[in-house]
Amino acid sequence: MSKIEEVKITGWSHKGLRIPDYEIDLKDPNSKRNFSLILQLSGEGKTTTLHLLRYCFYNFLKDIENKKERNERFDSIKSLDNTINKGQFVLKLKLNNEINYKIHLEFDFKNYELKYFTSAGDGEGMDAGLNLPDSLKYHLKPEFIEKSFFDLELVNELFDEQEKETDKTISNLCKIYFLDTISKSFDYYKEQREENVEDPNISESDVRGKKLKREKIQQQIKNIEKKAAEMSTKRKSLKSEYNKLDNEEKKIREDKKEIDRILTDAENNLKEKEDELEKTFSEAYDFLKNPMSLDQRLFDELKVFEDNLTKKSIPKSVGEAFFKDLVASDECLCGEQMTEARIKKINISKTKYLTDETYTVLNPIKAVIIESKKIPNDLINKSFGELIKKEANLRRAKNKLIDVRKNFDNERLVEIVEIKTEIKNELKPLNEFLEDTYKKPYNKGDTPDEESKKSLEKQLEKIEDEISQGTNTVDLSNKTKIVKKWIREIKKESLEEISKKLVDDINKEVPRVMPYEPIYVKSIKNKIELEGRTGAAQGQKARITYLFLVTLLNRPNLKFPFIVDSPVTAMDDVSRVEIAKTLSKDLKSQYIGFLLPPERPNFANTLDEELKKNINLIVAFSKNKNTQNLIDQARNYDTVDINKFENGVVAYDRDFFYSFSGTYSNDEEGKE
Amino acid sequence: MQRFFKIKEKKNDKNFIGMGTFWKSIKQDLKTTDQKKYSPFEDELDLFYICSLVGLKLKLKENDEDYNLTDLTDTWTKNLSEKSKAKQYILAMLLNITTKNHFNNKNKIQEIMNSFLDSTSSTSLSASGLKELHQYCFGGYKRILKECGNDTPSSLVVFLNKVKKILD
Repeated sequence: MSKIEEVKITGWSHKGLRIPDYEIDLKDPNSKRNFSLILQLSGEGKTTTLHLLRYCFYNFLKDIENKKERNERFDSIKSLDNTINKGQFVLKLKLNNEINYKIHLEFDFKNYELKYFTSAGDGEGMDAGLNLPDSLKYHLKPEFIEKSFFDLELVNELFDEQEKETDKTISNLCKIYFLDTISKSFDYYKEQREENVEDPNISESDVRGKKLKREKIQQQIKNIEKKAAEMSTKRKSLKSEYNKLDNEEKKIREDKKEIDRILTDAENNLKEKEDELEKTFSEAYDFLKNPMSLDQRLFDELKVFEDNLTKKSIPKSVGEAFFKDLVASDECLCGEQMTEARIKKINISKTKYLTDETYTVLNPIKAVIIESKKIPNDLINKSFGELIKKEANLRRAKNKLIDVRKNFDNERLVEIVEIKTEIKNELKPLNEFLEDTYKKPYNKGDTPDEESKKSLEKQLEKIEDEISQGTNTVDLSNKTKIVKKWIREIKKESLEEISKKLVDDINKEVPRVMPYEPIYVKSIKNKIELEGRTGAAQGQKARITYLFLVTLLNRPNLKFPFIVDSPVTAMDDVSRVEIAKTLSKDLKSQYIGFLLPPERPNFANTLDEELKKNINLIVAFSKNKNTQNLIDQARNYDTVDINKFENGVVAYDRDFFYSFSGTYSNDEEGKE
Repeated sequence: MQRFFKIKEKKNDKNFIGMGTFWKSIKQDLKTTDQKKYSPFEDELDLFYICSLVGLKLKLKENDEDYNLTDLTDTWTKNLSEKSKAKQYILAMLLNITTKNHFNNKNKIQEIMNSFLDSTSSTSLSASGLKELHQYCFGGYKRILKECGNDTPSSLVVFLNKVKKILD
């Protein structure tokens, strides 16, 4: 098959899943229609549909080893009707505007199994597996798919330095991560060569030991990368929730400024006292973790212990490998022939020599004793004495805050403060791991159990050197290092060059997208940084984010659908209009937006107008007693067939799209 | 795999407070409004460490056979092994005690160290080294429990001051 340059989704259908059993058809007259908006009520399965669309391009189960997590993923898709144990999702694609493809996902909810089938062309035959053309598979890595299926949470993440989301997004959409794959293939080649070396410099058991250590480090790197990715996702979601609550709190407090001031003072005072007590507890425990500093007698005792070891030249090891090789040889060290009796004697006597294992543990112990210093007793006593004082201070601060809150009767505010505290507490261990443990620099005594990526990479480099020296592959190892260094440089330069071009392209569009208050982008290294200002309103940030993404998506050779969940939620009118104009003017690939009814004004009509009605405007909802009024609305439109699907309705009528009122029958306030 | 254990209960003593119950009274609990919210003790191995410290410092050993034990963890926590030198101090104290009687016998010292230490174990201790440490840990726990009136401490401030008093 020729190179795939464009992928378009032409529709999908589902059965036996959490979403109603219906089919969505994205019409594409003359292969020139790129835009589709699907209007759905909140809670009607938008997120489930987005997940299923993602799963059509890569087998998501491959990355989920944990059985519980795997089952939870299945259960979130499963129909709420417990009698249904099988489900199906079918995605229809058109490649290069000429070849039809279908991807079938068959879910077995009883056994938690998923099977993929693919059919190419218009025939009925299906092949087992997810068999997309090779040139497409090359592009469709999970990293790429995740960014092409976008939700507005990314807006905050792109402006948050901690997440470094701009670099990740550029790397994923421009597929810079492929350079890592290339880099790894050199490692693989080197490892293969090491296997075939016939005359190693060290014993086979030593080579084996070092390779085992390398495997352990490599596995640990994979483990911690996975852990960091999971924690990062959790952190993003918590931060997003925190930001929403923070905005709500600000609004409430702005209304009552004087009380807000008193409350803020009391809160700051409490926070100060909390920090003081926490710090004192921590200091006290730190003293306990340094027992030599606590007690002069113990200090002296351990110093004598270390001194005695040093005088006796302990540790100085004789490796286990030495004894192994010795008992395996024909001759003993004394020149006599090796006998069973001698082997027995050697195995008994070797315990008197320090083994490598003991040596490795003992060395850091000695170092700690040598470095240890005695801390003055009065300092330690003062720290423990402070505990009672700080605890009393905190109690007073708490009582004060309770008094202030009594005068400020706002249940929602109290609730928000409590939830925010909970989130902050949940964020604490995540930040500790991601910002501290994961990034900790390498230390000499580090082991393969470390959770610091830097340390593990350094350990890997060292063991690689030892292996290449032991296996006579130093020359190959050096060449590999050079190539990998070049790849790293290429990666860095590519990222910089793409980023620079992106900033230029975004800034060219700024006067059009933000005509009243143009905000220019200064840099997109790690995060989006604005020219001459530290922040911007959410709508302005969203407009810049769209410019960033549209510009990025137009770069790759492959035109792939850009799918957005709630594309303009919580955005002002001007932002909606300008985002619609940006999309219609600049996006070269297919666009599918899952829209909530409140997002329709200023966005859907602008797109419709800009595209001269060359857009699919679709309404989809489930059929049940709660949606009876929606069914009644649909009845008024001749083109809407409410009986086509058993438990859902899909309408392609432009007028119905604009008039769809979007409330449930028994929901007075609406659920939007 | 070598692991750390804690005392679940004492055989033939229903009133004995297990280490799990004791731990609950001092561990960090971010959801509470009392002192435990600010507790520096995040991992159950922190209690194991403090008990070992007390046991080794006061040279108190308890026979682990007298207790029903339950699983704790198979490795030192980051707080004890990376963010501090606590692990190294405990190992130093253990080796100091166990080699003390062979001060001038290099071979014997090395033999003991070989039998107690193991770099391939995530605890850095062999089975016999770990058994020895547990005995000191349980000795220390018994002493702390006695200081707390054979009950859990009323607060974290009380607990830390009692441990300090025992060690002084």
